Amino acid sequence: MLGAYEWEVLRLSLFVATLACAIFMPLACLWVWLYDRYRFFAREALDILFHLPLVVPPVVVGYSLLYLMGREGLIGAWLFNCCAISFAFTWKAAVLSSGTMALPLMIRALRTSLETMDRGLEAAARTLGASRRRAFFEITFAQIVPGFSSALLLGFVRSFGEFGATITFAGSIPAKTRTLPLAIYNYTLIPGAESDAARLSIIACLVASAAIFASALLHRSRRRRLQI
Amino acid sequence: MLEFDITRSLPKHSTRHLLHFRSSLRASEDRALFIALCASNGGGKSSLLNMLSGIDRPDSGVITFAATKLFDTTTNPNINLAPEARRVGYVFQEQRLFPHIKVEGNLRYAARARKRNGKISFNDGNSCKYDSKQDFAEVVESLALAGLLNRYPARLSGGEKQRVALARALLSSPRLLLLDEPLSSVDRQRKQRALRLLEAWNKQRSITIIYANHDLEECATLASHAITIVREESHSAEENIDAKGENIARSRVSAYGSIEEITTRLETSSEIGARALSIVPAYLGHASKIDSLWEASLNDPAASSDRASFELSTPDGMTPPLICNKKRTAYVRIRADDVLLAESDDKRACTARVLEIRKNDNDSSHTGQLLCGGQRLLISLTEQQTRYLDTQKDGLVSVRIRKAESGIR
Repeated sequence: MLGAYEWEVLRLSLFVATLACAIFMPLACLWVWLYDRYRFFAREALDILFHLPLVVPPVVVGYSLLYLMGREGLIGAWLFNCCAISFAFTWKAAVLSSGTMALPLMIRALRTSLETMDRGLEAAARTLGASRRRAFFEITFAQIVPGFSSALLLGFVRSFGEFGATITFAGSIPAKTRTLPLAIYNYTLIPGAESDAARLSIIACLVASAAIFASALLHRSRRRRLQI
Repeated sequence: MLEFDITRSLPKHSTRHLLHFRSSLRASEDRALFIALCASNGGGKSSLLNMLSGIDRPDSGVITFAATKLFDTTTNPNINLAPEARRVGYVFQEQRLFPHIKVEGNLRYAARARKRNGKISFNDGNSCKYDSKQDFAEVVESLALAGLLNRYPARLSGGEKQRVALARALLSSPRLLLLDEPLSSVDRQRKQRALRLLEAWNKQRSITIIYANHDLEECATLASHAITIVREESHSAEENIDAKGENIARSRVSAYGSIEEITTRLETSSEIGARALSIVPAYLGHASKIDSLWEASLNDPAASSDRASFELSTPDGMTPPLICNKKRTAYVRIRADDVLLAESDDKRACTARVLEIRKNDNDSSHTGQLLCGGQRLLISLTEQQTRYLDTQKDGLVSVRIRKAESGIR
């Protein structure tokens, strides 16, 4: 049913989205924890910066990434000179751009569930001998599993569907950075390829549905386990 | 020994709540402190416990427990031991069980946390004197938790949660155990067993216990000392409002001392519970026909001819030897209503001296303080009786004690 080209597009998209989640989810967790626990310089400013991709046009994010991480960019040039790592127009760029777009969604989901936690439980853990950090990770953090899974879901779906930032920063190079949305967009530019575009669109819908279903399953099994 | 003198100001909506708690209690040689803490709602009872446990930081003051400074703002740098370094077990009013961990995991949390926290050491060498496996079995048995170990806290009833919370705190090998209404929803029989476990650990393991409750009655006969907290909203409007125009409420320790002293004092009688009662030591005689009734007297029958004897009831399954010491004395609870004026020829009456009489705030009744057989006792009096007592010149009256209670009700 699917041609070799479609398989490749799908495989690349899943690869990029998974990797973006795998890299940016820990970052989101780290930031949520730092923001919650410590008061430090530029705390609010950094938080706004991480939320920007949610509100600015994706093309701005893509352009900023290009400006910062491109081979001539501020960080990109340094990275290329010292470690010979280059982002622009490789799959790494696709991961970076879709991850950046997904980060604020993951932060929001994690923070919302953190806010609903009863922090008195941490105090209880500390009277039982747990250090401050341990109490946070073993009690509060361990409990935000639903927030965790919804953050992962949102992040994954967002990365999977990311278009604007990716096409700006990573370009649309077949087998390298042409993820599913870019491939669909590419088909719409070719006269007579409407059915191909439609087929890929249906695939996109199916993948997103599967992600939501998996998350709901996870949620339900947890609810059953805790009997709440 | 437990000493504290701490202040804290709590901004609460429109009212600023100023707390100043000061107390100094010393344990007797044979037994660690068992302190009953009484306060009305909003009195700052939980705030005091939070500060003792290290969860909340007092604004200023000193907390000393068993020669260890837990908190001190008079030194530079200030001392403020972290909660995990204080070895304070805390049973919260709302239990605070970890919802994502099964009951067994909750109970074993402290053992796991302490093991990993190797860097925190305690300067008393006896921290591992007791076999933790045996402790676990003992606590699970005494609090009837065996059937609950495999459940998540969400599936427990209120009383079950309280028993689990108590067990979890006990198993954290505390030196000081703070209990905030720990057994309010536990049924009578299980409450008795739980209190007996507390008594045993208090006596055998020298765990200092602070038992907070609205009412003194629950732990009255176990406690060796009492602290009462009052919240004062003074009547004059000026005093109640500070420079910023905020309302102010003040809480302070109104009395602290041994349990007999606190319960037989007129000033504090209304602060320790709904009904006035006296906690006094009594000498135990023999058991009467009905198992739960014992004969007891206020003073040693061998030493005195004028003895105040009375029937002592004990809860089912509890025999006085369990709750009394080697001299066959046990702390008993005598309600002021159960002390009656008697005819002088009544065989069971004894002579008492009236020390002081005070009118109760809410009705026309009075409460009197008597000295009877060397013990202070409270008595409830009607207006008429009060007038009659006023006519007795020497202040001597005959009283009869109807009954007394021991143990846990």
